[in-house]
Amino acid sequence: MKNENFRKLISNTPSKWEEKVNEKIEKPWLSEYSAKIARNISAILNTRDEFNQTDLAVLLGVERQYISRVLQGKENLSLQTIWKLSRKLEFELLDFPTYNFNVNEKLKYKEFRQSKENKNLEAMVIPFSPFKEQPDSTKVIYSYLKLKYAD
Amino acid sequence: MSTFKLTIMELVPIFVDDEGSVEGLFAVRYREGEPDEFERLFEQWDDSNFVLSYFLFNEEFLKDSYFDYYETFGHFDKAFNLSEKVEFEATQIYSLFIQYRLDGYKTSSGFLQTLFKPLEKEKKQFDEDSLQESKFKIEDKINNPQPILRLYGLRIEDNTFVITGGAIKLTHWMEHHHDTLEELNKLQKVKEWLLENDVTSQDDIKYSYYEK
Repeated sequence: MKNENFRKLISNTPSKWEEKVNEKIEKPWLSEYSAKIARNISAILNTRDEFNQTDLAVLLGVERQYISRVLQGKENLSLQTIWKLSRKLEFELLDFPTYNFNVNEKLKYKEFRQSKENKNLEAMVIPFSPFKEQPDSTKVIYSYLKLKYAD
Repeated sequence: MSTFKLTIMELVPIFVDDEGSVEGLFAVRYREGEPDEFERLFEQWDDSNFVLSYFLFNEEFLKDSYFDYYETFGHFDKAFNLSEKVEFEATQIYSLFIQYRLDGYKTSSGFLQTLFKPLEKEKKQFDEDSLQESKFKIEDKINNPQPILRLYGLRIEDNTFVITGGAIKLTHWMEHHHDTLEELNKLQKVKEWLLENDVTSQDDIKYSYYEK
């Protein structure tokens, strides 16, 4: 390769790729929460011809650019914003699991606490989850969208 | 007919040899003030709305047997699953390149040239010719056996590549989707531009069928 010819074509303005990738890696909540919420909103807007990003911005009293960033999955949404979006979209964007602290688990917990070897370990982690497995919000929205499409 | 308007500005270093040579990875910046292709693709693949809308818009291509791997039931299911896959895969790709930049890309385990493969279906090895069309896809048979993202570029020489673009690959043949067809066009245009600037000499610019 003729190095000098190649060198002439090289820019002095660096790429910002690494900065952007590191920002994503350092903020896992963006991909784990914000992006999931964004996809749900995007899918809902896709099913409603009469309702677009601009309408949503007007309803929420925010700039359209803000909605655009929300849909890109780039916003660290506050609970208040998620609540407002859910009301306006008439769809619950956050899904909370039911607290299934059932009798058997209570007994297990009692036995655990009363056992001699664990008697004094007040701060020990409880060896079972009080939560029963629940469908995640993505599955719930799949069902919702299937119903919408069935219409 | 291609809608791609080529106004090539420059080659942007992604990571290059510290010793002052021009060995390393570069990406094309097509227009002034815009990000280079490597940066642009990350932004695009990291945009939840763009990716989901892309799959919804390309519904007809998701019916292809190419996507049989996704044992899902409906169009929306596929679009959601594939969107999450793109996000995961983009992070995999760019983390790998960060690793190469940090560890060096000429160590025994990290030759840059081993990441890229010739684009032409029948070729398993790079030719001695320079400016060969190349592709990159993630190799992870356990966590990601059927990668969907591609980077395309030209091999200048060993360990020196110029990324010309990339795509979400929806069809087996690049010619069968307008976006990947556009990527072929970009490869040829950049190749011509490099030749015009006497980066290398090569008589034959090939244009044939390409695989994934």
